[in-house]
Amino acid sequence: MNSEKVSEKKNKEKKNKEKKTTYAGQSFSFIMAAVVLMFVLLVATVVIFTLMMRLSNSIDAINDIDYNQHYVFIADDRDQALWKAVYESAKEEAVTQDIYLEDLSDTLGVNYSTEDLLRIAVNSSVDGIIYGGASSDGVVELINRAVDEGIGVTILQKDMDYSARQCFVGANNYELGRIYGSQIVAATGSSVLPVTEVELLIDGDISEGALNILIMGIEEYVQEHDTRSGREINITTTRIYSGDAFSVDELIRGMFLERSELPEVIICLNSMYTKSVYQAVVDYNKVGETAIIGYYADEATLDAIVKKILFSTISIDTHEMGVLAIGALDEFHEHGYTSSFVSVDIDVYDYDNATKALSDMEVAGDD
Amino acid sequence: MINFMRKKWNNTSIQNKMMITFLIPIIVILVMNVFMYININVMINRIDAIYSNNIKLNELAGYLTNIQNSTKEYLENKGSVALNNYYIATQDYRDCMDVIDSNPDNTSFSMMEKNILNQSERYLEVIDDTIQAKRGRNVEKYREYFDDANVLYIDLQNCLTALNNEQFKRNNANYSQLLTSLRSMEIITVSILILVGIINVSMLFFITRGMTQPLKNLSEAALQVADGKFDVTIDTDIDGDEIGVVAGAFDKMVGSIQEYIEELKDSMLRESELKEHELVMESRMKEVQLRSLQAQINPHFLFNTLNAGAQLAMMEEADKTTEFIENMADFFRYNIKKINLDASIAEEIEMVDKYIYILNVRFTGEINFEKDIDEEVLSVRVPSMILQPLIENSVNYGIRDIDWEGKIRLRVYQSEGEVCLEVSDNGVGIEQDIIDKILSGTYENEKTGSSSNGIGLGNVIERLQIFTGSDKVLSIESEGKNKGSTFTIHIPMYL
Repeated sequence: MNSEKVSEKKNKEKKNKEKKTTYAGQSFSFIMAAVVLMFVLLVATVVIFTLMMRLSNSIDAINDIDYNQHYVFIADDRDQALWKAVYESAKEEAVTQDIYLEDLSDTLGVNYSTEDLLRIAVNSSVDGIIYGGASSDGVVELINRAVDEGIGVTILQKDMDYSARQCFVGANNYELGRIYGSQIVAATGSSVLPVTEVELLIDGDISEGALNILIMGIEEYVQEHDTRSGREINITTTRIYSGDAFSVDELIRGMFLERSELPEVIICLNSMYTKSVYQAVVDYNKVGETAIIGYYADEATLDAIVKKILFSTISIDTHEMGVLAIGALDEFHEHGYTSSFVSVDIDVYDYDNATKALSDMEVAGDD
Repeated sequence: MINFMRKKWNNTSIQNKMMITFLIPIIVILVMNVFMYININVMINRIDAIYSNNIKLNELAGYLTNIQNSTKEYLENKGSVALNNYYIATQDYRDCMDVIDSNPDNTSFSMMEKNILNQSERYLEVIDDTIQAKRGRNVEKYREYFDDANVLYIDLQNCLTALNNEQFKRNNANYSQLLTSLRSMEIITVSILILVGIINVSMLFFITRGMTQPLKNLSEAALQVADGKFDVTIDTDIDGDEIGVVAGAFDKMVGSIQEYIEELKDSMLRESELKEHELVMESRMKEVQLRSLQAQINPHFLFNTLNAGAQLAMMEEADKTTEFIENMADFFRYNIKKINLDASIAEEIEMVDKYIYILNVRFTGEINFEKDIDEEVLSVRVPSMILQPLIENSVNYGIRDIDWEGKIRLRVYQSEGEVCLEVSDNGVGIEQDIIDKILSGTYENEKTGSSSNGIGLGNVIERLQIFTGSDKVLSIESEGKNKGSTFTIHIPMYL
């Protein structure tokens, strides 16, 4: 009787003890879990917010490179594609040296002339100017003033050796003339005409000296390499002055309309002239009547060569030009002087290599 | 470690548990809020700062226009107000330039700002030359200077507009991104706060359930106890807190009440059993008495008659008759007097002697009676009239109808804390089933008749059981038919 009671009591105590563990265990376990979860949330909040703050900081930081030099790039818009390529490569190079290269015409958004832009650059006391625009007395004066004020000036493509500029980066005119000469020989190899008429479309501001060297190069090469006896070469130059934005095209089209016969070879010393000429040839159905030797190798030009609208094109290495321009200014700032002439490579694209160049360009574009 | 913490938690008071439960989420939420507030504030300040440069540039453009206009006005009328305006505008412009110039970094925009500042210096120089030339009445010069200043002014305005636009473009992008970040932060903040809130509510639910559930169980148990159901199980979480203490105490209290009730029940049961025994005993006694009275209608008359008979026998000098009548009178007197009382073993033996004497007179000395008595136990008290029925039983059922000499032997001795009163005979013996019936009280003898004094073995057994409180008061042994039988009464020595 007594032992039964004792065992019953023990069972009851055991049961209570089990329940005690269950309730107490639940409460404690949950609170522990909740505390851990809240701590995790706290840490997650700190991490997330820190990351977001860093991300927002990086938004500002994208454009906030701390530059140590400020160069200005000025170029006229007649060779848009060419200058764009030069500017891009120069900018790439500049960034690697913590130099801020500003395209003033792009920044200001106002249709300033290159001379106006040059004036603003000089008045802004920038550290260096890369100039690829037209030359004029005002431009030369501003270049001289810039040099007086310690601003480095590099001229691209068309030299102004009569100014106080520190450096010129471009092709050697004599060399350029010889290359054009080679293209003339190639283009007129099968011609039976006694005189090879060549028309040079050149910028109105090109100096006589530079032009003479160019023509000399052409003539020398043709004389050396044209094996046909008694053949003469007659080079005519047409200076094109860019009065307004559309005058170049009108002038070229006028040339096609006015003349009954086109010259055997037309050499364009500017990418804009090249485009206008081959468009006019197509529009006026004169393809094949004249051999067009263009300037600069963009996609449209190469495509025109492949279609045999253009005979060939001559292009300077724009990437090299941009890099060398920055290098020249750097050298000037570092040593106080720099080479007055830095030559860039010249490439020739004709029917034989235009297709490959075009596909290379497309691949590069895809990349 | 966890077990230690669990133990600690279980033993924590309710107040501390509540404090911990409230404090932890509050601290977490507070820390989160402070952290989020600081970050969001930084973000908002940054958003505010985004357009501050635009504002500065606009101010600069405004002061520039003021300079240009006041100069033009001065050139037109050389008035002192215009000159004063020029100086004020120039000072404002210079102050504003200083603010812009204080920007220590060299970002692209800083470079463009530097351009503007340099152009501004040149402009201010030219404009000052213009004023001086005007003052000096140098007409040609001030016109020339003003033309230059005008060009510079236009350039500056264009540059300011361009920079302003560029900054605005970038600021817009930054503003959008910062705004997106801010919105994301807000969403994250709200989500986290909701999550913490849910956890907090769950925590409160669990902790309050942990507290109220035992209380609920306790109240249910209390209601059951109030209804008289003491056999309740308290389903409560008996932590070391106050509720645990109350629950534990309640559990103990209910346990104690239960034990007390059980004890009370036991004691009442015992009491009722005792009363029942007493009643049974009383009824048996009354039965014995009744039978005795039935057998002897008027004992006083009988005793007086027997005394008269004894006196008559004495007068006639019939000694044997006198002795017989005296013994018989003593026997019956004992029977009447002691029926409700206990007696010593010596008295019982004496009564047996008288009974044997009477029987021997009746049956002319046929009964051979032997005694073996342990003198030490003669004073032990026993219920009266227990030995005589045994002797009577041996005479009537043991040796009456045998062909050989009947012997009855009374032996009184001590054995294992008991006093044993053994009556044995060499009579016909008893079969085992009859023994069992006698001991269980179910045996009814057909031979019971007028020769008996009316007190049967059953009565003896019952009285002995009541007297000793034990079931085993009488043992009967018989080795078989005609091998006699032995009846032994067992009386505990120290009752």
